[in-house]
Amino acid sequence: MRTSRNHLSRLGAFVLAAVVILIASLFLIGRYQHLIGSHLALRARFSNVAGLRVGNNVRYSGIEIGTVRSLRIINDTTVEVSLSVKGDMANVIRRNAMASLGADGLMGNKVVNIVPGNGAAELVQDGDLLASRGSVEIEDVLRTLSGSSENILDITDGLRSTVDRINRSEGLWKLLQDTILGENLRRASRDLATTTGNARELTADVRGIFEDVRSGKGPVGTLLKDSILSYNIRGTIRRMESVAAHAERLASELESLSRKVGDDYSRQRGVLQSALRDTALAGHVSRSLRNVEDGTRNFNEDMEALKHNFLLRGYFRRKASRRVDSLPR
Amino acid sequence: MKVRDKTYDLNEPVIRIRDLHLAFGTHKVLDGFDLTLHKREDLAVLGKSGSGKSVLIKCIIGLLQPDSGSIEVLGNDVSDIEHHALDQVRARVGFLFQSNALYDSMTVRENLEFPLRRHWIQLTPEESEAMVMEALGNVGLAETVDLMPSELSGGMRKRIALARTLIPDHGPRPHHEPGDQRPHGGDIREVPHQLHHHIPRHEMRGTNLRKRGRAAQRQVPRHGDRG
Amino acid sequence: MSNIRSFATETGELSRFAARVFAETPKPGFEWRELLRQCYLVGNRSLPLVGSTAFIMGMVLTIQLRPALLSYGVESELPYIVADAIIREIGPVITGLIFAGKVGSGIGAELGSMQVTEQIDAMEVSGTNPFRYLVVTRVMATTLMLPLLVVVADAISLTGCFIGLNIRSVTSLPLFIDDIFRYLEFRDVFPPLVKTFFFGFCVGTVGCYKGYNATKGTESVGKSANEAVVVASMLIFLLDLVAVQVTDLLGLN
Ligand SMILES: Nc1ncnc2c1ncn2[C@@H]1O[C@H](COP(=O)(O)OP(=O)(O)O)[C@@H](O)[C@H]1O
Ligand SMILES: [Mg+2]
Repeated sequence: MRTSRNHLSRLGAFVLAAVVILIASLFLIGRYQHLIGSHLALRARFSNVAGLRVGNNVRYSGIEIGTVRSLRIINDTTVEVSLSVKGDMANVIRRNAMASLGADGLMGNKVVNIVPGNGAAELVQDGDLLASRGSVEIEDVLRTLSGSSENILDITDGLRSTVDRINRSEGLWKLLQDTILGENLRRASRDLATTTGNARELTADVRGIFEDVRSGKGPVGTLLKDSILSYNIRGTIRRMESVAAHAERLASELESLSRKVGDDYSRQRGVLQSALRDTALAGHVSRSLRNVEDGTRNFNEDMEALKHNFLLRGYFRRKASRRVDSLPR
Repeated sequence: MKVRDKTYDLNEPVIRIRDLHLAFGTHKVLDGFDLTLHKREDLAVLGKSGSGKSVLIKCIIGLLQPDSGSIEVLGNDVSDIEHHALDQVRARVGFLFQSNALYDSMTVRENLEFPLRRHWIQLTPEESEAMVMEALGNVGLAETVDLMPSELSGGMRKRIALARTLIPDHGPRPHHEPGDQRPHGGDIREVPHQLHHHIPRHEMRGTNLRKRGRAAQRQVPRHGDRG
Repeated sequence: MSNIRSFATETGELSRFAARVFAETPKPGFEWRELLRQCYLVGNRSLPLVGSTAFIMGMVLTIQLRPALLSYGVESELPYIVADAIIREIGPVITGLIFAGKVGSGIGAELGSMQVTEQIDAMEVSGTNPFRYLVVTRVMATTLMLPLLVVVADAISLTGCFIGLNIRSVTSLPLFIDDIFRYLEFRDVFPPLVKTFFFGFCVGTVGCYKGYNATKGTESVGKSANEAVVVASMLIFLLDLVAVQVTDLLGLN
């Protein structure tokens, strides 16, 4: 049986085409995996690599420069991560650069971030050990977020009851009617009410976000894409917590004051009259109230800032549009 | 099954079958069959359709394994022989299939070249071409060499099939010099010439018998001339 | 009951047939010419069909996945997702099935009619081992050609994907290639490539087995062709199931 020359050459062309495609794609994959071409080996040590795996990406200032080569447990508290990065990074990375762990999005792969250090240092050499920085775990952030929201709920409940009590105390209002002090107190309590409302809303929102994140849906996943954002989340939450604590302190101060005023008033002891005439006490009360005012303003500003945080922006925007949709016509 | 057995020469049995049994499941096709065929004999096996003529001939050529009994072809027991030796025996037997069995994906030339693929036959392209053309000339169909079997008439196909069974016996035989290491040495050349018309080349049925008999007779002088 | 038994018998015979292919392949006197001819025929017979379906699959998959990825805001991952789906699963399986339909049935019918018209017996008598000449060459041809066909089909599919992407948005070729290969790993490519060898072997073996064991009569030729396709397609899915578990065990998924 003769295989014609034409047939043979067509078969050959086909086989060559397939082999070329295969080799080209393997080469491309290899190039992206840095298995082909020169590479630089670096090391970093962590106490916990949080599920980092061989093959995960290594980034320098956010640019992919290599992959994790191997993981090795050195002792009971240290894991050494070997990194393989592009050879030409030897002219870029300096000895004081720091390695940290991060995640590619909320649910995504772990990455090793190499961040340039401050000041001048020599360039790295093959096999150098980089300093490492503790990792920010999205799980930790979420836990904090959840705890904060519980705290805020308690605080706002306290604030609300204080404001209610002040509002209900009609005698106090009458007594303070025409004084500047009365005006201040009124404004303070109004602000406090807004704060309470905001805090409540925020609590519900944080809860919602937390639920969404937990069930792995919603825009948060995409919003949390950059691991560096987790630093910002943590900062925001710390600020929120300190403000809430501040507000709580002020609120309790206000409460004790109002209780004293209320008691005196109910006992008809006329102490209030004298107290108001006493400049020292008046100064104390107005100082307290100014503090409350400042505190609540700060708190509200923080709430506002939180709403504008890129992380939660999308969530609040969606929430607002839903609210508009559900308005009665 | 009737066996017509005209004996010319009792000295050399070409085929000797003893007590052949073959059954397909419960259907006994060959049941204690005996046959002896000598050199220079013409033999026709007659029987009605489905009586086992094709089964018998396939046993002789080693395409079917009998359940029991012995079949000797040219002194070799084909029912108990290793494959290479069986192939040597087959090379000396002309065998024409009832349905011609031309390879329908190949041209006539390729069909005729096929038996020359045997590994001990080493021919230059020119030699094999010469053999193909001679075999085709013998059946009067040289012009069909580049046609496909599907382009031939029934009768032409039968003659091409005949040419194919004859081809190992024609033309120059290379590697025939003394001292040649081939397993069969010189007699591979000789024996088939005689076997051709002695071994039942084809089952023969009823009315066809006479015609085919004559066709076979016509072949004789040609081989004789060349011998 | 008798169905189960005949199924078991069939499986056993098919296994023995496959084992015989392995046993006969390394023997001397390999039919190189016939192998090359079969490779050509196998590729030539299936390439147009494989190529056009691959193109359509790549394009349709891209267009259909796009809205879903848009809603998650990850449209830029579309090339990689389509590429991974094609390379890992759709390319090998769809190509394998089409290959079974086109080549497997062809082999079943061809060997079936050769068996029925005694051509296989004629080869045996002519001193050519028909198993080596017909079966081994065909099985080798399908085993070698299917992986190559799948590679080409994957490439054609990705061309379809590229065109599908550019229907709705604009992507340049370098960006498209970068989008795919920045995530693609060797383990995305090697296991599917390995399994296509098995797919090819299975199509060739089943086709030859069905054809080789055709009984007398013209209708058994059709039956051989038909059963070759059905059994080979089933086996491809079974092999796929096994392959995914093996790659999983090896940690390559
Ligand atoms: N491969 C086979 N399997 C089962 N039965 C067969 C087979 N080959 C032949 N037979 C049976 O053997 C008997 C003889 O067949 P055969 O020799 O072809 O008849 P004929 O004498 O017409 O050539 C028939 O009854 C047929 O049914
Ligand atoms: Mg018959």
